[in-house]
Amino acid sequence: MSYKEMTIWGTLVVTIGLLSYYLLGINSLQAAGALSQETMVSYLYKVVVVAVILEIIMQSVLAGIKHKEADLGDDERDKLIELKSTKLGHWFCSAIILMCVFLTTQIERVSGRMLLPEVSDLYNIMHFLIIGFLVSEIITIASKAYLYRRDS
Amino acid sequence: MTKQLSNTIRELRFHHNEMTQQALAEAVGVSRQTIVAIEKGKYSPSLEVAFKIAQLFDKKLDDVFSYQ
Repeated sequence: MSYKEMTIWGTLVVTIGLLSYYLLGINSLQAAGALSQETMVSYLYKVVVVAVILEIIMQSVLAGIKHKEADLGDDERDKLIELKSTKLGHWFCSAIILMCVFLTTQIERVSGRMLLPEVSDLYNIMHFLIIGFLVSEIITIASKAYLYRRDS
Repeated sequence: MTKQLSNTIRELRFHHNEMTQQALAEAVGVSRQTIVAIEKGKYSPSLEVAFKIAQLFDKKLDDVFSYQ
């Protein structure tokens, strides 16, 4: 397996792990009755720090294993795959953003009936956006993995 | 009937001192995986890469690639 593919699979595992970590954390805070805007924000910072650390560790380990390939840049096929998969993730992300815009226009109707009643509507929309962003990342990376496998 | 891009790269490599895919990839500035995909007809290279491959084997473009 090439360095590119290994990086893609590693990033996919890290991103799925992060989404699970975020959802499980928010869920356990909610179950413990400790969910508030402050705990949500501090948990979010924790998720971001964990994401950065995991990504650095993964990239360093892979670059150590396949240091020759790590020095090579993207060629035309890599760029094409990047473009195709980013486009797919972009469509999903755009759909989530539009849904959030729609939610905002209907805020009086949905107020208090969202996923996390312990926090304000604004934080509920943020929660929705974070999930949407991570899912769109997973879609982007998974389609990259698929395109690399299909053409090899 | 749908036309497809095919090539003779594998054969040309063989007749070129059994050149490896890695050596060809380095010579034209792409990854080995890209050469694999081109050889299998799963990826159509840019004109620039196609010309580089043809020039490397000292062939005309349509001696290497055909569209039929």
